[in-house]
Amino acid sequence: MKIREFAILEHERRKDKMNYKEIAERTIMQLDQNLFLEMKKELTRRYIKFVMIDDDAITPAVLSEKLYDYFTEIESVSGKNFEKLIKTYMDDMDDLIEGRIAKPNKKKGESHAVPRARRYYEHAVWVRKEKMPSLWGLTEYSRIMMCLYMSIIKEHLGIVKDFDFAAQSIDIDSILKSIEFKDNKAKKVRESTKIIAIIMYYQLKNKEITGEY
Amino acid sequence: MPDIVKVTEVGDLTEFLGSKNLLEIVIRNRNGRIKEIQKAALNNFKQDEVKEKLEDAIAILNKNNAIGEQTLQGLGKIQGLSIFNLVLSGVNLCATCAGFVIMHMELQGISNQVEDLVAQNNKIADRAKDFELRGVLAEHQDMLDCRKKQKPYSEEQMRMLVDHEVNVLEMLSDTFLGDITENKKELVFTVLSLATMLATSIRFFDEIYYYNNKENIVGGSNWHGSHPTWMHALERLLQDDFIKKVQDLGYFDMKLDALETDNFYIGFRDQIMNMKIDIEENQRLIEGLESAEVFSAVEKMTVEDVRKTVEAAFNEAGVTPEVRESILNYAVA
Repeated sequence: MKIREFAILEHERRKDKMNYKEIAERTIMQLDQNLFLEMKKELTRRYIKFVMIDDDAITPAVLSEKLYDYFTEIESVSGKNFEKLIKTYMDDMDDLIEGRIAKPNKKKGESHAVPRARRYYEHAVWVRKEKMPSLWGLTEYSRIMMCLYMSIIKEHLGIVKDFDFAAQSIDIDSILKSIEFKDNKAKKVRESTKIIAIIMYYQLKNKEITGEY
Repeated sequence: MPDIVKVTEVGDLTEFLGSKNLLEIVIRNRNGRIKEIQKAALNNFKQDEVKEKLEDAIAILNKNNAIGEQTLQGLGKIQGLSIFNLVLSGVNLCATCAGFVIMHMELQGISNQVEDLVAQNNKIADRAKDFELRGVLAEHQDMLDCRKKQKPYSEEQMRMLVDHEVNVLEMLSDTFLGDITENKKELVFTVLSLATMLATSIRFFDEIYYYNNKENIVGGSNWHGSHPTWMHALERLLQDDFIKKVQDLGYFDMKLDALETDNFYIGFRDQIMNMKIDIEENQRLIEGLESAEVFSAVEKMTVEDVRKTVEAAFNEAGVTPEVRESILNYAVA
């Protein structure tokens, strides 16, 4: 394993418009075959229906096209374009997480160290403020927030001071089940947020580094 | 006059690179006259095929193999890798004199900072007096030198070296887990280096101990009673609290992004796991061979097999002659 001891290339971090077509080309269309099949199953099971096309015929391009129609329809009804739906996704994630991340202790005589989970949460907020809109920023934000939410789920939706930052700790089924059935704070989470979460989850999986063990 | 070119990403500029892959930018003064020409280098954002092949070769050479000093320097120039990257890649610099010279120099350069950190942060003040990083580096160097001269350390000398390295590694680990704010990267590098040294020393000790004592061992383990304690010093580096600190170091101090942090901490974790497995596999090999002479002969054969494997890999991958030569000529110390 090598580490790059220089900063991420600026063109990868540059701000850009969050155009759906570009995002789909760099995420859904780049997925490993097995991951695409998993994502297709996740989306078609709950959110997207194909009436005339057999499952075998649903390719990354077909699925991307269907999602494009979905987001276009939302825009025509709500007035929110894809970029605004990304913002909604980030707002929804923040609503689920912010209140459950422990804050530094303010009592005299006790340590005022910033809890580890809070440190990463604040970095996610910084990424959102300084590095959006960009796919890199969206991916980075999703990684931190999904890991935090997984640890919150393991604490029975309680407050967390620490968390597991490993990408392998994220399980999209657990996240979606919590949002849909268990988390009272999730009642206002839009369906578009869940779909964007699924896209971002598989983007994270596609880039995942697993190591030798 | 050509049309204005619209550039949306750095890659769009590559067609304009001049000699030595430099982009020349004209800076004009207020009158529009050319004030100066600024040369800029673009980051090489495409994965170099030769670098990929070199990485494969390093992976093959890594396994229990030593790499000569000239090879390492050559690799460093070709890949632009720091020593830290080499060690993180699993290149074992601690098994031979030539390799260890480089490690020793690197560690000497940061030993003052590390010793200060340990002294400041060690909760048990007396223990800090026993922390002699430079001492243990000199001992390890001496041990390798004696092996090279065919006058290896005795069992007692090796055991003391292992104990000393365990002590230093434990104190470094304690310091890293404490509330330090500076020089964390240097500290992690030192931890990884000490772990590599310790793993090497344990393997050497196991060989000496087993062949010296196998006739007399009655029941129980074939290995020294302190072996679990020594292994614990390595296993500690795989615990959650340590790994999380390595993640935090990568993400906040080294300003890596999430993927790069993964590369970093997983690389660290994998190297420690490899060290543990190497020790265990070495023990099985020792137990399976009837004498130290046979073991030594098998070790030499393994090195030759690796050389042949690397040559075959180069043939298949079409590695250029100059790259191949710089590695193979000095591949084994």
